[in-house]
Amino acid sequence: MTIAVSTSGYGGKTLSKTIQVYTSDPEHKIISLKVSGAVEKMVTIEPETIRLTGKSNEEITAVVKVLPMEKYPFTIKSISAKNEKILGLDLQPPEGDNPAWNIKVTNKQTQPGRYFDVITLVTDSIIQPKIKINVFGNISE
Amino acid sequence: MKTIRFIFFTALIIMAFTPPVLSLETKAVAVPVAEVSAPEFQFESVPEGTKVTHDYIIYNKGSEPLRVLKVRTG
Repeated sequence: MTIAVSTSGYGGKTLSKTIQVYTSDPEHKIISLKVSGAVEKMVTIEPETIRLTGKSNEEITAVVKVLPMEKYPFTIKSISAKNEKILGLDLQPPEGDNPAWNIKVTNKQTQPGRYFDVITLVTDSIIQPKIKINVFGNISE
Repeated sequence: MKTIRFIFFTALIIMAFTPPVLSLETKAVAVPVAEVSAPEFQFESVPEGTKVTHDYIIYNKGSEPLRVLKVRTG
């Protein structure tokens, strides 16, 4: 029996999963299989989730820092939002000795209300070709 | 007559305390017997985003085919 486990979302943590196999053996109706191991962080994203909160007549922005781990360097090839009408994105590559990428996220939603969107970073990393960042918006009058 | 009665009752008592004759062949129940040699797998440290795969081998030590009815993950 082959199992495949995705380690996405477990960076910096220990992954532990249990697989229960139900069999026709009357003495071993359930067999428990366990998989575990440490997952290293490939990137540090600050903040991990973007919250755009403010009034509709104001400029609402947030800056996200994307820092590749030294052991797993990568560059960001492109950036996109699920709904480009809601979010404006500006990617600033690393400058000088600072290896972090900065993304300026701007709210474009003018109507009051809440929304959820996802920013996708396409990288040249074989291990993690796509990085997703969640965005929560809360626009008031 | 007394002798016959004695033999009859003796035989009756012997029969009462003698266990019934069993078949010498013990009937084995045919069932599948599942066995996993290494049910726990610990992988080496990997970077986030890596897909970890592993093969678990489930042996059938029984005399009937072993069927996997369902698999649940958690």
